[in-house]
Amino acid sequence: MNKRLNCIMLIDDDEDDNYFHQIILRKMDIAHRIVVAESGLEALDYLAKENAPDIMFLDINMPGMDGWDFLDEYKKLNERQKTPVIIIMLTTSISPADKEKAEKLPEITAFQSKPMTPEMLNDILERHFSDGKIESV
Amino acid sequence: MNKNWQRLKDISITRKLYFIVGAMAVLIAVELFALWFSIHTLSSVRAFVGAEGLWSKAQKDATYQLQKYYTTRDEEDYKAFQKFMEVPLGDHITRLELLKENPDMGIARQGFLKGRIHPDDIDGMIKLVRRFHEIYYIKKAIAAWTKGDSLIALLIPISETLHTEITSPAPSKEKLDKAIGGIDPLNQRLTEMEDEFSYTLGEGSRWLENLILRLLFLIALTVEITGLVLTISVSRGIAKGLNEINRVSKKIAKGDLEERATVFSKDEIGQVATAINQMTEQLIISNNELGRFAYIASHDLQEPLKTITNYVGLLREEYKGNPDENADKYLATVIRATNRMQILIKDILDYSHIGDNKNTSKVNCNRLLQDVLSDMSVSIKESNAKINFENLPVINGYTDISYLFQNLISNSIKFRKKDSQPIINITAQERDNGWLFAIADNGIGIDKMNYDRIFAVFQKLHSQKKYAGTGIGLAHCKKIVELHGGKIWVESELQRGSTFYFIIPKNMTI
Repeated sequence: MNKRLNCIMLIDDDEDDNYFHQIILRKMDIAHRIVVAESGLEALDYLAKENAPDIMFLDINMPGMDGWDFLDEYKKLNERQKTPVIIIMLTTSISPADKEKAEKLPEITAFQSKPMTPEMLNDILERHFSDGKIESV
Repeated sequence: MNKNWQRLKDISITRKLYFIVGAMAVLIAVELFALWFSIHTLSSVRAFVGAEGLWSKAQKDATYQLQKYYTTRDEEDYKAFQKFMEVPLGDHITRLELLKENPDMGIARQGFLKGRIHPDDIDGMIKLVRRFHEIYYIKKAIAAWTKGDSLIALLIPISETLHTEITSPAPSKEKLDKAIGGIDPLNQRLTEMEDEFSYTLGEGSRWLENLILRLLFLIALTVEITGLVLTISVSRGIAKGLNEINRVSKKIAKGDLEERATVFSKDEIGQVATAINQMTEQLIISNNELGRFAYIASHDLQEPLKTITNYVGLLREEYKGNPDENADKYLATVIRATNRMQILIKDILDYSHIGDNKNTSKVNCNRLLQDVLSDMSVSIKESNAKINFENLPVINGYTDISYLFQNLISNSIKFRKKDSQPIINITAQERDNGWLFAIADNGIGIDKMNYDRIFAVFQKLHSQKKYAGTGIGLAHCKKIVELHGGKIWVESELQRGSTFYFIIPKNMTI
């Protein structure tokens, strides 16, 4: 990995998981910024004001606005706010129904089980940000 | 019409049965009434024939007495004549009365009593005349009677002439002879009338007998046909409803909760069918709830467990050897326990998901086993297991069936004897009720007393230390086999090996 990503966003209500995932991300040192949103609403607020992150890790089970609700709102955003973002569903759910549903949504890049691992991140970087691709961000 | 028919079908079965019994009772009452009426009528005809006999006998006796009087000139004979004449005269009074618009029954009865008819017969006879005087035979008989009456009445002027002459001081032989000469032709004509009367009545009674027989036969036929039709239609309705309930119950018992009973009517059976449908709906709801509960419970259990695993992992990584080696050991134990719990939870989730995919497909068991074995290649290699199979069939099954083979094979490997190479033979035989699969190993075997126990959820025969596992695998296998409508069992000998058998029906009625 020759370049660092600009921003990675974690959307999860579980503080412990967020903390753990931040440790993993920091250890790997792959992004300038790590943003944490503890709900879908918070994430939407961020997207309305700031530049879109490079990767969003989205949990499904969240109080209030869950992962699916967030995606519904996300679709309504304008193109600038949606600029090439990789959305990874990162969840404890192992329900086949959830997986199927995620696979049908074009917005979702991948469906992964918690916890986030260095292997998982390397795989994502390799697939979506290797070489020239990262320059376009 | 259809609406009315439906309304009839909706009547409760009890009422339908009461209705059948009621209808039969009414028809039988009609039949009995007809029988009573006809016996009564025939008896009245018999009484009339008897009365005609009395009438004729009286007429003959009166004629005889008159002729005797002519010879003896004895006043007693004349009186006897008059006495005998009372019979036809009495009948005459009755006839006249009965042909009136509003007859006086007292007078009519008196007339017949004078006609020496038995009092018990009189009412029937009067009714016969009143009711049937328009009927051909009765009309004809009454006509003969009327004629007879007018003829017999001619005896009276003859008798009066004879009496006047005989009681006169100088009876004229010529007048007497002339009077007596009128009797014979009169007698002859009367005989004709009398014959005609009784022939007509006889003919009438035969006609009536015939008619009544036909009528009774017809009514009996109606009783039987009505009874038969009602019984058949009601019992068909019952059988149809029961068959439908039977069919659906069997399907539901096999786990097909999509099936619903057709409700043909609102009677008791229709109510049972409706209740079964409602029960099934309720079963689906509670099944779904149970599934959701298992999913949510295990999902929610998993979250804190994962957090524990994550952070214990961090501890081990970042603080290895601190404060001493014991800490590493403790952490390793914690990690092992949490891993085991994760497997348990995952097994429960998998178990609760069996049959979620409702589609069956053709499964080539040879190819399926190849896939299963390649998934298990690590443990097969480690244990140096030899697995034999050939010519396995293509069956109709659910995707879950691969788990069945995988679990039974991995059990055979897991419970191998320490000192020998595990050998597993997988065979299938075609039977009437489906394919009989056998998975035989040369492992440690199972005690007979545990044959049933091993298929229950969370049942284990060994300590976690000796053989790791959740105790859910064979329960899982059993659920999969039962999903196919088959059964699974084991035969084993300790230290020799176990053979697991299961049957997958060919035509799954799902």
